[in-house]
Amino acid sequence: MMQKLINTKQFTILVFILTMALKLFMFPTLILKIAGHDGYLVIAIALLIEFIILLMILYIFRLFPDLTFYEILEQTLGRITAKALVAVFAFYQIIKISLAINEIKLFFTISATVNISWPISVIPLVFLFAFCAVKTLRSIGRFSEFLCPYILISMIVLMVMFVGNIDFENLLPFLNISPKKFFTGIYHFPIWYADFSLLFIFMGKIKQSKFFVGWSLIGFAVSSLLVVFFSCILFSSYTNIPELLDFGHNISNLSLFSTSHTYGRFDLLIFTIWIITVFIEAILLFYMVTRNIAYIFEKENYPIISAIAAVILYIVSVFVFKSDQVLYTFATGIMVYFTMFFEFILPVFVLLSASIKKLWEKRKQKEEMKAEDEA
Amino acid sequence: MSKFENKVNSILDVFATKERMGKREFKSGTRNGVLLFDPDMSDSEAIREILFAVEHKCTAKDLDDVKKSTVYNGEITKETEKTKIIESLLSGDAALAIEGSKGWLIINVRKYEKRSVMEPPTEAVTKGPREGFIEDLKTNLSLIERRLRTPALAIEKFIVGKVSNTTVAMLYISTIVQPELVEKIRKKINTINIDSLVDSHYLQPLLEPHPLSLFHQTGVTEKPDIVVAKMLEGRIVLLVDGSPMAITIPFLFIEDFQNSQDYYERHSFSTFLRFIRYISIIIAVLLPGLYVALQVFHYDVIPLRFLVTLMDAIKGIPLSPVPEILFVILLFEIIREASVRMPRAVGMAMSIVGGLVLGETAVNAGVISSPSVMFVALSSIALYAVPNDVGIFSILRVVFVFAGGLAGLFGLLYATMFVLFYIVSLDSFGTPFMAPFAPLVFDDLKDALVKRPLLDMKKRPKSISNINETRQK
Repeated sequence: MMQKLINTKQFTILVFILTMALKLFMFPTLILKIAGHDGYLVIAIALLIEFIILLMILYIFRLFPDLTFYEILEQTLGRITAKALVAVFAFYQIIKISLAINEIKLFFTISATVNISWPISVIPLVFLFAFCAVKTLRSIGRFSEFLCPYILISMIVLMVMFVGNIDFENLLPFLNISPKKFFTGIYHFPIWYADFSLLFIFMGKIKQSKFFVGWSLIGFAVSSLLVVFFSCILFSSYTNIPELLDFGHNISNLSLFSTSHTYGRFDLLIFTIWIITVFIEAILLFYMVTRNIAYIFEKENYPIISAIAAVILYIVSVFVFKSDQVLYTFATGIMVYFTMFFEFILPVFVLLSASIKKLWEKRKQKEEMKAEDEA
Repeated sequence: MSKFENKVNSILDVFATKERMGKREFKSGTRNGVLLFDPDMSDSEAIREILFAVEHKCTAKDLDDVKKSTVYNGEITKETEKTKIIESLLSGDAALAIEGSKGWLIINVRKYEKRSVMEPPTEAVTKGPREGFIEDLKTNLSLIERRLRTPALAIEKFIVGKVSNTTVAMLYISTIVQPELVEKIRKKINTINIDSLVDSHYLQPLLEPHPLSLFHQTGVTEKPDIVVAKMLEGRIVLLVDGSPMAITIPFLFIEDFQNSQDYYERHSFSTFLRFIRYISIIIAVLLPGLYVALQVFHYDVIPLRFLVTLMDAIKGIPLSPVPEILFVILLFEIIREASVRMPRAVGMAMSIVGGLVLGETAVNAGVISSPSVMFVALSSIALYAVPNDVGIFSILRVVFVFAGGLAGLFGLLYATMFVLFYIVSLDSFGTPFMAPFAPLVFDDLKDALVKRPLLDMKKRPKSISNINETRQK
């Protein structure tokens, strides 16, 4: 039996973190530009889609608690096809890490106004990802578990800071946008809101408690509420502060209006804690990339694999995606199809093949029992 | 040369100088006998008593008779193996042989100078036991045995060090400790191949799973009450002859934030002290780095009034923030290192000169700013809230200054995440180093984040595996 590396608690926390990670910074801004102050509804629908995907993945985990993602792919697709699929999956994940790195870059260079050379700063970042990928999933689980209270507390403190100062009436009137804009918002940005295919790396490695599904859904629900709340703040402020169209990806800037200069921008320190979620998602993505490579080449030399993956990631995020514009064009262009395939179709496919496999196993078992009885 | 002389010489020839061992020949009845001993490590009174007994009272035919009816000593064994006889002689025992009788009698006549049991300087308390271990293993064992009067207390002894032949004692409570852990440590000790074990700190890297790590994965204490408490939680204790420091295994990072006095104070005050220690370490490690990061990159985070004061204070300082803070830290580290090594008579005076005069003069001369001195001083004082980790946190403090100075909050966050990830991935003999925080062991938080009253500690910590979880009913 596969060694169980993380427990239900840690998995719940990871669901909480992944739900929030890429949805709090650039995503609301991009939606804002399309859907205006009704954008929070688009986000809510995106979260609903995520919810369905999460349910499917959790069901697969329940169905096959001891089977890994690679095993199930191999059993349904055959070794060669499974390896080809995993290779494309790794490519998709490298792009997604580049997106996460870009979020970190934007946060620190624009929100936190750090004037640093980004191509140089990516080196330690990539090194961190490689370092984490050499360790086990257990370490990532513990790491998330340790940081989760700080993330949650910082989010609550920010909420309290905002609540009294934001005029939520600006969100009215409801549904002031056309359904087409709704669809555009959902269609163009799945790479930002669809994050759960990553959970497949945990398949067969979770020590599932009785309320495994329930806890995971609670983690998702809490995180979703926070995402919607902060989106509402951004979208309600939009009416009052048109400059947010330029600086909209900086939710933290909003708090400047709430707290004024008297206390300084201490909110920035709190908001910095949120970016940890993006770090964790990037770490997990990179971890899965290394495991995908290991599976393709059937090698388990993770330090070497991590080093190679790190070099590829560096080249992609610094040289291929030279500017934000290039990255966003790619992410909202061809990558939409990749995302839809890996985030929406893959879970459905795995669920179907897992269900068929289960049915087949049951049938076989019944036939064996029948044969035994007859004998 | 007679057979008996050959037997004696085979032992004495092993020593580089024959004078190293004392040799007294005697007649026991009609038979020749010899007593070997180390004159520097044995009790001359006990030697005299043995010789008197074997020369004047002895009618014994062989060594077994001597053991039964002539020499009245609590610790007396018969030994035939040459290496063991030599080991015993080197430990201060006497070896007695009689012509025509096989083997040697090993008699405990050990006596050497040792300091008395006193309060350990590294773990001073205002409440609770003040006894500390000393360099004598036997005394240290007695300090533990006095507190644990149970047959379940197991003491295993090993000889480690090819040259030093140091005795290492492994202690545990057999009804609590996980047997796999005992076996693991036993195996590890048996595989040690080193010349000498000067102190228990020599043993630490030889046992730890990550010996190159900045963080120690075995605990060290000088106090028997702490050792006993840890054994009662399912840990194993190692005592090294010649060292006043006991090693405890497995070790959790949180242990450095616990103090024996926490258990003798009211729990509310102990909880308060725990929080103070956590805050102190955050201040100690992050404050200088954060100060540099805010000054260089994020001055908008600093409240306006404080920013004005700060700008006024740093006006005209020739150094930029990073070298300035590093210079002040270097100054502090030099003063600290020098005052530890200085003769006590001048130590206090030099500390005042170093701390007050030098700091004040440097600020007045405009070399460094007063906020830098203040932040480094605060950070340096805070370091000592957790004295066991001063070394680790001093290094991390410098790392964080560089991180904050080079990339502001990004650098600080990056460094924090790197260090945290590294710590949570550490294990100490199968126990997660950061337990009960990562993984979260909720029940154990009552003696980690806070300190609950003793009445609430009904179970042993789950973070450390044991075979008997009930502590009280």
